[in-house]
Amino acid sequence: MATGWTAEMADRKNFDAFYENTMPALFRALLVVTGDRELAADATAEALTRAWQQWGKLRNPRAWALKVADNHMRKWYQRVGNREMLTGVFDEDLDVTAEALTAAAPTAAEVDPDLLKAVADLPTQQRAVVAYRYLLGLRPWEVADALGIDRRTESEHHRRAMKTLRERIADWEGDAP
Amino acid sequence: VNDRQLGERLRRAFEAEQPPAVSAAEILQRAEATQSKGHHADMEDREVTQTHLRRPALIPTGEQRAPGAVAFDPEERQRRELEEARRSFAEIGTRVGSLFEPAQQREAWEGEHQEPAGPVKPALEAAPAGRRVPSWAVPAVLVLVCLLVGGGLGYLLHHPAAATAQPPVSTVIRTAPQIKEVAPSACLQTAQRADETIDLLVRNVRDRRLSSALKAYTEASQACRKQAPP
Repeated sequence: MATGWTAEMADRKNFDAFYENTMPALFRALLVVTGDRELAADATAEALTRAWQQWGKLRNPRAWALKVADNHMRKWYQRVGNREMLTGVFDEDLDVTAEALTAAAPTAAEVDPDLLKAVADLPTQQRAVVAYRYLLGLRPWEVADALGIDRRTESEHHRRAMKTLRERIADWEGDAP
Repeated sequence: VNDRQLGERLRRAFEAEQPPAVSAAEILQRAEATQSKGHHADMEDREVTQTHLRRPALIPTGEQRAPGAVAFDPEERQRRELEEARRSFAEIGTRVGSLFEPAQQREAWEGEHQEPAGPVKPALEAAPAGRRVPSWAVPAVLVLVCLLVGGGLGYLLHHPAAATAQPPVSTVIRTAPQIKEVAPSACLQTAQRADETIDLLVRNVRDRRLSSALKAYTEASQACRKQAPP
């Protein structure tokens, strides 16, 4: 009895630590990908709820939570009836505009408007790779697994995204007086 | 600027972005609530197959909300869900309605149910018209194909001769007279004897003539049975 209680308390402590580390990062990453604050918040809550329900069985909770959030967002788009987006939110068709991302992340837009605009201009999958690597701190193979793509494809997306970001920011900052 | 520096810059920019003010305890409560309802009982480390968008959001509203957090109360969520469901039904109705409604009524209905532009709408409109296959078209085509295949198989089973090569119709007509069924002479004689016997019975003849007629009929009948093929 005491052992079970102790184990539960240990689980709870571990989950609290995981929650503190993961929740803000996951929310921000999903915010960048979707450009929709409500959807990102909803998917984050859903992913962490399910993570707790499966706590103890998960080998990599952060990557697992991302996958759950990804599925949740896919289901959301499926639910709203957009048949063309059934293949997922990471299709090239679903692009977030700079205006939408600025509205969804006003503080980030204030801190670094050039970078935010450059990120918004990236294709969805490249944006997802950048967000999951740098905001969520996942490793390349974890990102590839979460997105359901090959590792080489993920690496190529990352290379192109970084190249584009560098060029855009260099252009804008070079133009600035 | 290398990749790491760029990533660090991105992280710094979004670090100021305030996440929703939801505590771990609230997440645990939510998890217990959904488990007590029987949800996720068999949840494994696999793809999610259900959504639970009807649950109230845990992001607090009003004064409790942290600065920058999104206002997302249960009523707002319910309103949003209803809106999305209505849009979905409207789309299905637009597709299926053409079978039952006159074109003018449908256009008027569509005009009344115009949706405001949302983040999802542009992708929907941008899709090429050729890709929009009605959802009922595929099952309808499958049913039609099954009916045709079933009909064909049924015809072949009941008319096996039709499956093989047939001679021309004129040949069949020409050969038909050659297959002439002729009754054995004994049977014809039996019929004749029977007529005679009936005639005697009808005329109420009850003497030796009836006796001999019956005898002749019986003999002819036996001869007929021997000659006739089984």
